[in-house]
Amino acid sequence: MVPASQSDWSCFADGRSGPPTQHDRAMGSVRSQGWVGRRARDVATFGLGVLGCVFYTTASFAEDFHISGFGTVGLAKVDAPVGWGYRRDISQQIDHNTFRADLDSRLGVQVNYAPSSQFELVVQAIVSPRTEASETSDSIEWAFAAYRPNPNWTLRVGRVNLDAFLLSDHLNVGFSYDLARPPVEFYAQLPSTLDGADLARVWNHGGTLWRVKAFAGRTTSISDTDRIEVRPVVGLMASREAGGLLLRASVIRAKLANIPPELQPLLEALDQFSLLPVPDVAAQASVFRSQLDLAGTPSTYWALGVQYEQAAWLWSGEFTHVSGISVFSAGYATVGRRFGPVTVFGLASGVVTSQSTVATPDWQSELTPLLGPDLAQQAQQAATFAALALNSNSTKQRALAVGARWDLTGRLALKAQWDHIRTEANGTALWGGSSLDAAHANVASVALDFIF
Amino acid sequence: MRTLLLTLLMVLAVTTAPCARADFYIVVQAGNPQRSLTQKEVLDLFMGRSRAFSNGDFALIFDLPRDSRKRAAFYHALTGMTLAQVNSYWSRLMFSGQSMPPQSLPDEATIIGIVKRNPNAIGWLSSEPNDKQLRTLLVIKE
Repeated sequence: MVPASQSDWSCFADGRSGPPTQHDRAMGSVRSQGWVGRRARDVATFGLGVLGCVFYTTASFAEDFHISGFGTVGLAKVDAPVGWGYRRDISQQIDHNTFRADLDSRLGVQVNYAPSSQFELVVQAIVSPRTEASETSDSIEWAFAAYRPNPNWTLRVGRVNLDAFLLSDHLNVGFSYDLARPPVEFYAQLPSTLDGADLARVWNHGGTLWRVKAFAGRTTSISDTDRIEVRPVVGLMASREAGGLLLRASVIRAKLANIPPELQPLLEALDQFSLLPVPDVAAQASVFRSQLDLAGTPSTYWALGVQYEQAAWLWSGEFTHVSGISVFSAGYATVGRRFGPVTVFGLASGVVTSQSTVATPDWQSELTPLLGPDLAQQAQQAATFAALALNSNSTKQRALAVGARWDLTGRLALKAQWDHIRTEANGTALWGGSSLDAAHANVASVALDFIF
Repeated sequence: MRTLLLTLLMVLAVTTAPCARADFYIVVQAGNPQRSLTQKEVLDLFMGRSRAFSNGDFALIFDLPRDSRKRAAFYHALTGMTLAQVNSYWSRLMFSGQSMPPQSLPDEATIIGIVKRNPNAIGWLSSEPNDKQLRTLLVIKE
């Protein structure tokens, strides 16, 4: 009957940086982040271990082994409100600095072992900025065994890429795309890896390549403080490629297995309030509770993508609509023009949460006659935090970018990009540590992308 | 600074310099049942869009080293793409675990040797093969 003490949810009291947002909890990806902190040592040890194995085995089975890698050395200058941390994706470490080397810099190493045309083992490890919530195993981007009974079917088991969006299977490989980073408004809150299996079939008819893939498994959403299991994840993808035109459609369905433990005291308090003999408060508490307790709630991701290459021009666009846990729509369009080794491009992207802003109800005056001023004040704090947690989930953001990529050699590209970002009030979830106020920001980036 | 500029200019010169014109010969072992291939089919094989010959057998595809000048000319003739574009394309397929690029061999003599020994192998040469154990499936004009 009595609400939890203030201290139980006081971790939320610092505003936007407090409660984990729905986006933090929504499916993120295990690709991540954060150079700093004690994890760096684990990663280094792990990396040396992988390399040690690699070199040892290469000496023995050199012909079947293939070692390759990619990386980005990037520097970005972020002009944003004080305390707002720009993030390439929502699982990235929050960093408020103006000059950021951690935003885009990363290094990946991949080992392929293919003893025959039918079997292949692939491991890819990525060393990149990492959050406190990450584990060493998060540096493993892919680790799977592939079996091809014939040239048209492929079954993969292990940690595979969640092949649902145009860039989702090579988000970390800057050399493979022209932009400085995948469009943040689109990709920052989408999943990219899957622990499970996928089965793909290709048809090549008269120059038209069809691919259909079904997948199932689980993934982990990592924020700066939490790890949330997402399971089961199931999905279907179909693509058609012909004459420089790639069309792609996919659907994914996923459920959150748990919610961040920090939300638990708030949910328990809302449970208590939903039993109060004050109909307005009880009804509002019950609605808040169901909106915040998302364990077991399915989300559906629909996506359509198109890429078109014609002579020196490159066009691409993608749209996704997500319903369930986070209800949002996101999309982007790019155009690029090649001039010899230089490609100049422009990008427009945006994301909008469909749900409207949640107003903070006045529980204090309604409950004071029943509970007395002290408990009523605590109830009011619960209402305030619940509304804040819900509003801090919202994403309403647009960005315009222009940039250029210069292929210095066949394996080295220099990129420069300028982004102008506009974020609406109660739509700041892509930022780390921000308030809920409207803001605009500029990001200037340079990056050197390479493969080896 | 001047050295840096000179280096950049040299890099540009190397990446944009035209290569000597030559034709390219797509070859398999004479025992391979495949009689010919269209340029589209060759492109599909060498760009990871197809893994098989017409009869459904896996094709083992061989190539020259990634930074070889002849390779750049071959891919330009086949796809119209520059070496950087081809490498960027492959980095997408390779690092998403979809497909590996054709296996690199040090030189054309090694390609000839392997194709002659393996009925599923396919490779390309920059001069017309004069060997009864090889069959040319397609000539690509540069």
